[in-house]
Amino acid sequence: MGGSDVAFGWRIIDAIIALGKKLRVERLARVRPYLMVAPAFLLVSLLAVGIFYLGWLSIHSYDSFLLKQGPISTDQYRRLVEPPSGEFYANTLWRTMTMSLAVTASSMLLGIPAAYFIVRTSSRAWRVTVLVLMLVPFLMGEIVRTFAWFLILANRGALGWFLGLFGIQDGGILGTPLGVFVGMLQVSVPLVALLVMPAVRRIDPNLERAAATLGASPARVWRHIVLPLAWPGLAAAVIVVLLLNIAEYDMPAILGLGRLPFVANVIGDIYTLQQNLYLGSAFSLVLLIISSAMIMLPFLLIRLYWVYFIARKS
Amino acid sequence: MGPVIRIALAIVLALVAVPLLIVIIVSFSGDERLIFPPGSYSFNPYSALIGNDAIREALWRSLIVGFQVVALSLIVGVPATIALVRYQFRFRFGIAMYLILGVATPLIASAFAFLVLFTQAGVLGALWPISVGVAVVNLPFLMFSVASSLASLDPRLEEAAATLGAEQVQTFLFVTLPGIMPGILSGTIMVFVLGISEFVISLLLSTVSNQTLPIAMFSSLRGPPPPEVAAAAGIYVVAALLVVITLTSLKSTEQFFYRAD
Repeated sequence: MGGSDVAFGWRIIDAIIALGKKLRVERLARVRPYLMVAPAFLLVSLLAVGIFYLGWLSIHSYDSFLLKQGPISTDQYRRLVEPPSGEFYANTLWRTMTMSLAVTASSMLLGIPAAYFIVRTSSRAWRVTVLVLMLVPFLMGEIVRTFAWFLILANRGALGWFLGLFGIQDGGILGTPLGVFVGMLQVSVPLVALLVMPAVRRIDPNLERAAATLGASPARVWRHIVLPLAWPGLAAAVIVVLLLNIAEYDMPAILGLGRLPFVANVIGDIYTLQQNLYLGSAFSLVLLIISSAMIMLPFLLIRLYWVYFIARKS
Repeated sequence: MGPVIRIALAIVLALVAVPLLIVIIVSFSGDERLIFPPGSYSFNPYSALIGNDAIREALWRSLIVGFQVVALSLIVGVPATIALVRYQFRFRFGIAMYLILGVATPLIASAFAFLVLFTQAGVLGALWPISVGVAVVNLPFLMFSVASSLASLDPRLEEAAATLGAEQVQTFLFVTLPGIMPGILSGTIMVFVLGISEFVISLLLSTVSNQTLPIAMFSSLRGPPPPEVAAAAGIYVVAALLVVITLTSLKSTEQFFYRAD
């Protein structure tokens, strides 16, 4: 039976080839790459169209009593900056940006050494263990990470119990910026490490050894060899982690007890409580523009550096 | 390695591993109210999970979303990645950049874009719009995984097959596809797990009657968390752990994260 199954498989392939010849698919050779990317292109275009639609809605006024779209206006953007709630939106944006930057900076401080360890350790067991532990938070999902930190930081949680062993009384740090900050580190640090690893991997260890032999302290080796050579990986890590953090939802909602909303929470509330797609679109677009500017910034700085460098040389 | 690196590593491991341990321990709590350490241990959270219709149905919906996301990502992602890695054509770089739009946009902005789009189309309330949104956002992970596998597959193998008289279909089926299978497999697993645990997009695109498991868990975290949430979280942690161990034992993942030259 096995033999005839194989023959059957071959006959199908022969039929496909014959069909291809009959339809003369070789005529399509020139457009084939385009045909192959077309489905993915169309799928992603749903998001692109959605983003354009966000922009379209955000420049219309909206009557929340009649639930009707009004004429083109700057209403939504004015509501984001003007009283009564403009200050609340501005504070939310400020909190989101400052907390995200703090988390990103701390993640770099912790993630770069971790990446360096994974690449340079001679023990395969250690490398695999650290790698596995770093990938798990990334795959277990935002809500489960949040729940875990809730169990740690809550009033009768693991942190309080641990501190209690040393006789320290603690009411939990839920509802404080520190709680949200610590929770966000759990996925940001591994992400930095994973993104920096390939860059560290490309650094020739002999460079570090040479520097050390010539009398450079470990700090100088890092300052003048490791960090400059890992620069592209570091820039990528900053961008990706910052992007992830400014869209954070669960940690501020649960660990911040709703007292420290991020932009994502406010956008969610605008939809669920006010049913206002127009204002939500405007705020989403503001966040999108800020994040795009952040992605562009490193490239812009490099460009400026080049202009400055060339101008000074000539 | 220096003491600074050791201290940093210890902090990182604590940050990453302690929450996993706590979730597992608390998921066997015997208490009414979840505290740490639990006053007694039992399988109560897990039996409560099985007995809770709402949570069980939400779990089922999350699995459906996971499978739909995998199917969609594979169908559009694999051919696109092969074209982008193997062929030279105009706008190649631009198209590659366009296809990772989902990870370059803050998640909440993507979610809101899908919300306004699907509201306008009048399809909100079904499960497939969630799957479409999640697939767009996580497509790059599948593409990176397949691309790293494809890059390490020697193109001369395909040329050799063609020289020996294999038709393009045969070359693809018997040389290219088996060669990139590890990348497809690890990408599929990753996209599936990201799909069943996805939160923000499901939050905006789901209605009260079609909540996925992460959304159901979030809703129940508004008050004191019920024990079945601990069990669901425990399942997510164990599933993620199993998947990661499988992934790291696959050679392609080691190449993906730790490329051997």
